[in-house]
Amino acid sequence: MSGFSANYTATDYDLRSLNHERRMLAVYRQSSHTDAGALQPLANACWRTSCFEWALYRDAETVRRLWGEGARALVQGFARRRHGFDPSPDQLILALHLSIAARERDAFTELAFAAPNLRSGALRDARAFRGSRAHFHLAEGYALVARALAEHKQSPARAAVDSLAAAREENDAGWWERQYPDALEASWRMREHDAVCALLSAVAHRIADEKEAVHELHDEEVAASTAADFGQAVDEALVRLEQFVERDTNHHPKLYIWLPGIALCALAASARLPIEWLQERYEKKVVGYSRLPLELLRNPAKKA
Amino acid sequence: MDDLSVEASNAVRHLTNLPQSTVETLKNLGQNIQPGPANTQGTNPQNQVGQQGENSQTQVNQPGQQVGDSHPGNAFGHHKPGRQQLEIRNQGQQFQFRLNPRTDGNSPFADGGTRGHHYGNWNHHGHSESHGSHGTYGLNSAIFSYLRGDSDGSALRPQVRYALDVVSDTMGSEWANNLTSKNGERIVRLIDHAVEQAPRSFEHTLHQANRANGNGHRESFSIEPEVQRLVENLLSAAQLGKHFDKLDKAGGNFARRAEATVAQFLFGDKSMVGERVQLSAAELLRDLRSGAFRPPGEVFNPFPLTGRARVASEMMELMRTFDAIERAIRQLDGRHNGAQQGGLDNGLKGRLTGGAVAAFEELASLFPGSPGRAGRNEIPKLIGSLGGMLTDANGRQFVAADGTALKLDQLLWLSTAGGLLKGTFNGEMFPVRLSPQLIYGFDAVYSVIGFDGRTLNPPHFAAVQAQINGSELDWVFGQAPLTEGWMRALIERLKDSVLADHNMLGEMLEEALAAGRFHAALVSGSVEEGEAVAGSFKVTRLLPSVTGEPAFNYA
Repeated sequence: MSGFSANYTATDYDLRSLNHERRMLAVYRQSSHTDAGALQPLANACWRTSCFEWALYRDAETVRRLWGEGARALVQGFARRRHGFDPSPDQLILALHLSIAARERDAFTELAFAAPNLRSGALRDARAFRGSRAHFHLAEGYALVARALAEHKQSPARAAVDSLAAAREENDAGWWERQYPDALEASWRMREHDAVCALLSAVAHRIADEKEAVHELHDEEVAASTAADFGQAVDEALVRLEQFVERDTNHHPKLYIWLPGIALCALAASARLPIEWLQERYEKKVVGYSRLPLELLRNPAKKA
Repeated sequence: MDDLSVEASNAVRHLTNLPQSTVETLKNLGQNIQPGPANTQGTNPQNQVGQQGENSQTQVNQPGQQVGDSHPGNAFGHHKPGRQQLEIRNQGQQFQFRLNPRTDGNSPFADGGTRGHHYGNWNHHGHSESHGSHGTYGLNSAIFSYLRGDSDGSALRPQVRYALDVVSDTMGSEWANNLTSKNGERIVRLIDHAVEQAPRSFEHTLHQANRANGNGHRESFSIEPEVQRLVENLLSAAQLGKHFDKLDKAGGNFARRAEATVAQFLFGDKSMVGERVQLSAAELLRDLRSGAFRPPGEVFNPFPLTGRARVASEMMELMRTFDAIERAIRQLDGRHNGAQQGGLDNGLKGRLTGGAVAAFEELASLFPGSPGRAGRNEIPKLIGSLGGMLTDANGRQFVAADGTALKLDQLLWLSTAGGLLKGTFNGEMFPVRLSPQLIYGFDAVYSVIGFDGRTLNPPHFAAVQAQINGSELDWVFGQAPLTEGWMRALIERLKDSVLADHNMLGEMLEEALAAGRFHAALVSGSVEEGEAVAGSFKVTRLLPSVTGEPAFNYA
């Protein structure tokens, strides 16, 4: 293979890529005003730019701002159903991740109220990923959890539990292998899907099973146990992620930060799951937690 | 590898208060761990636990002699089977395990007796010198035993063990557990051959690389390119084996015969022929999945075959294709006065002149190949014969935004040639064995100029994809083929490639796509017995406008 220099370092790649993504951001921002087909590329560019920004400058505010922009772009596409926008389940899932990670309340609420019955509603004309039932179930479950939190109701969370169970059941290794020619990537993505379902299920159970104040002591014990399971699931996912990144020689900028982990930990906190386990992981420098930076998990400082 | 039983795992944790991570490490050593009485008379204990987990108070003692510790084969902490001991002290408590490998009658290490200690040095082929190259304890048995978890893999080179670990982990424990003697032998032979083809120079251990993991840590652990390629080959081989398992159920005898044929060319008696045309498990798998081995006549059959009949017809076409490949190679060898591989290559190189495209056309036309590859190799011929001018069924040409007619100019990228072309022929460049990323990426990318030959600024590009024998175009990354989402997904793969040249091409293509300067066309035709059927190739679709009619025949 020609053209590859041993002196070409990761920093070179990050720098050059950041410059390119910034150029594309400018292009997509302009064209998305008139072309709904530019909304997804805009969101994708926001995501990629945020990863390179973090890798090079560690600026949490810039990263959140980009996530927020990406979330709003996708929500615009889902909400207005403009021609040219593909309302696919993977994009709705991404929109939820971005809106939660960026603490974009309006975007989060709008997505939450797309549930239930996404398949016949917000995702009706999906083209990409339309052959994957697992993604549709996951999108449904995720939106229901969001709705449960937005409305402070338990019933959507109970429905989410069923959707997420279906999402895990339909997680078909054969589908991933056909869609992702690199077996390593297919394996990682299948496991990531499973991990996201497991983490969301924990949150959904927490909301659905939360007891009244009179049963507070028992409730705290259950919450602690759920949090422990949640933490272990995050541990396993991050180990798998590290394995994938080590084994595959290509770059994976979107895995510089594990966006689903950021979002789901924030969601868990919103559902009043204890998250002290996170602090312990950081203190012990457990493998993989550099991809869940604390600065991005903490709520941004409120403006005066 | 079987999981540690829940009962045993809980027993270990309860009795030793070991953190789960340590138990997992012990489990991954491929041994059953059963609590047993203390026994200080272990033989060759060589107990190394790679990770201590979070509780650093756990210690592992290593009494007794350790055999082969100086060999890099021990770098992964694998310890030898046989009656081993692992003494663990934790917070003043002493708890000793006796490790008994899971065994079956076929394992060469069944009794853990003296056989289990003949590891010493091994030769360049990864075979234990004590046991010879293909004896009872030869490489294929060692691979099978290791994959099944019946041995620690000490007879294998560490890079091979690493690669097998990755394969087993990626394919899942169910795959490894389902390796019976029947399909296991087939899989292992495929893997065995891939390992044999790996460079002989696996002498240095896995090393640090300066590829960062994106978190600012520049000393991340990475693997050698040769090991990476071995992993790719093994994974492709394992996936091909899985596919034939499915075909076996549908196609019965035909599928088995076809599989035997594939096996011959990939790793058996005819593997030299297969290597000459760079047959690969990954390309074969793609062609099998997409139906590229469908006989050409089937495309126009108003009553297409289904089910078992369809599988049988595809398997027969596969066997005919391989026969044709073998005939062509042997004829060429005969014409160049010798069956020596070097003679053929030298003769070809002496004849080749001109740029990469001309040389490629000549070389590609000499050999039949898998249908997908044969079809993709037709793209430059078709484009060349049309003078780069592509039209749809209504005679409309590629046009720029200002209405200027365009034509395809320089071939920038050809997947069957390994990707980016630099304009000069490099005899070592192709035929090449392709990675899955290349196989499922763009087939060809051209630069585009004005119909009068003038250069366009900014530049335009065109992707040309091939569809063979009415095969299903691949959905990849969740995207329908030839859609903008599909193009964006492939562009992103280029941008994230380890190769800087690919990154730059990807960036250029994304900018072009966003500005309406990236076109796409589909070339479809028939391939029979590994060769393109004359007159069958045509452009049938252009993007962004989709036409259903054939546009132009290539004669």
